[in-house]
Amino acid sequence: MDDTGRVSVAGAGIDGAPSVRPGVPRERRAPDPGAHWNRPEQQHDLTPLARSGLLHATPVFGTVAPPRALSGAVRRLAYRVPEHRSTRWALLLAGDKLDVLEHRLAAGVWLLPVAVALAAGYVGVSRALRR
Amino acid sequence: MRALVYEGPYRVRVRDKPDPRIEHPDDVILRVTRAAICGSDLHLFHGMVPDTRVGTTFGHEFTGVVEEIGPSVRGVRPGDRLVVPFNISCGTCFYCERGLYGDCESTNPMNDLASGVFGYSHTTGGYDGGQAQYVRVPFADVGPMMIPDDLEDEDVLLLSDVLPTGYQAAEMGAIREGDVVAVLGCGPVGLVAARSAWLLGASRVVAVDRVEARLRFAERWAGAETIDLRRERDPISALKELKGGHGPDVVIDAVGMEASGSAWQTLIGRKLKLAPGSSIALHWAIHSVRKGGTVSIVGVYGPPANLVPIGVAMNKGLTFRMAQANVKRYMPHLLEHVRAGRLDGRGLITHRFPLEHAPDAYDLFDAKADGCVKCVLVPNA
Repeated sequence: MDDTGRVSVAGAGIDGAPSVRPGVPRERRAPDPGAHWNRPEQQHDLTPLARSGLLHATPVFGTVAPPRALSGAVRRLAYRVPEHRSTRWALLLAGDKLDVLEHRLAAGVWLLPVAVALAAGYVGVSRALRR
Repeated sequence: MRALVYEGPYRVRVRDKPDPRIEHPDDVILRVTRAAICGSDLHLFHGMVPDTRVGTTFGHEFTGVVEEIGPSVRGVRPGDRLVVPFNISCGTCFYCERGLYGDCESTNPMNDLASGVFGYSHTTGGYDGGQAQYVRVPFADVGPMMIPDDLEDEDVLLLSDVLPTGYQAAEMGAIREGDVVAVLGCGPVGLVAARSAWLLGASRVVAVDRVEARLRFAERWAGAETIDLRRERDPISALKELKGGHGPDVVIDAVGMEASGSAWQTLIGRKLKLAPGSSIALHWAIHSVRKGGTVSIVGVYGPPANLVPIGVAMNKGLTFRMAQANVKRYMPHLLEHVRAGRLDGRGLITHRFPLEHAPDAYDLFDAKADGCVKCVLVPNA
């Protein structure tokens, strides 16, 4: 604090008047200066997995990691459940777990022929030793 | 291109990934120059956010140079330097027209919770983020701000999220001259909220955390008094004492769903996931703020329901304000604070890593080790 008892942080109180605060009033009616459309064009390519009750895809959407395999089926099911139901979010969390599992299994697929060869070798050697 | 890729809880890697492309006439492709790791990225990293898909690239705080523009883009050109808000907003929908850019209804088809967000799971639209060499930026004429020639990327990088979110947190507290303000959490957003509380006229600002280095940072960077949760067993009583037993006029929750401090909340919300995270920070806020006071929430909570003492809030006559920051609306005002040195965003950056070392950066930031407050990745070093 300074001698007058005010805090000496640079700019202290500079935005004290509500009229200078950028979020006041909370809602205002002013079109964005950058937008040169009344309604944006629609993104095409593919239809996103979207919430139940949405009649059209939003004008833009992300296209990363589309749903696939069993986790994708669970996610598709989840998005048919309204978002105010806990079931929807529980299904999405279950889909996440399955997704990770699928990824780990897929990453280990190259090990399968090696595992089969090792198992076959083990069985063969065991039989040979028994004779 | 090289990009950070999510491969499951606590596991991110840097992999080759196809370059992003123009998918809508108002898109641009940005070559990323700086990408910060946000505290809320850790919720993704921990697997706390539903529909976080393997293969997604995180990152919603970034700057970059325009590489390619869509056929309808008018306001930016290749070579322009941009800082990009974390919300993706169309500028003309019901919400954008009212200045509520964080609620844009044109960019997130997955739910009615919030706008699209870069690199923040399919719950916010399924967009890739900026922790990569390149990123697709929709509606480039609306959200991004040109970086002035006299400023470097790191000077304005945190205008993408941390500075607007922290400032809006304080502003939502409707702080009046002489108010006592408490901020829960001394991560980057909490630090900015504390600093902003001074700008808005607070007479006393108190920051609460359990990490020694961050408490010292709050004293130094935000000019705040501190309460150390490792020593203070009853934070609610300590906060109430700040104003003669009444409690602070405003309490800001800058912690969110992964707060520690309650074994019960941790078990229910974080371990068993029967609720979307722990809401203990909200408990502290509601119980400690004075009657008729304001609780401002910017900590991230997941859907659909938390264990919150709403009866206490009702009887105390509290006002709640909360939101994802409407970043675009705050950028010009906060740019002036940055220029004048009143909000030193660059000063929050404590660590820098090349993109290839992003997994190490996540581990360090997650552990809050080595005095880490803010990690920044340099993708095209």
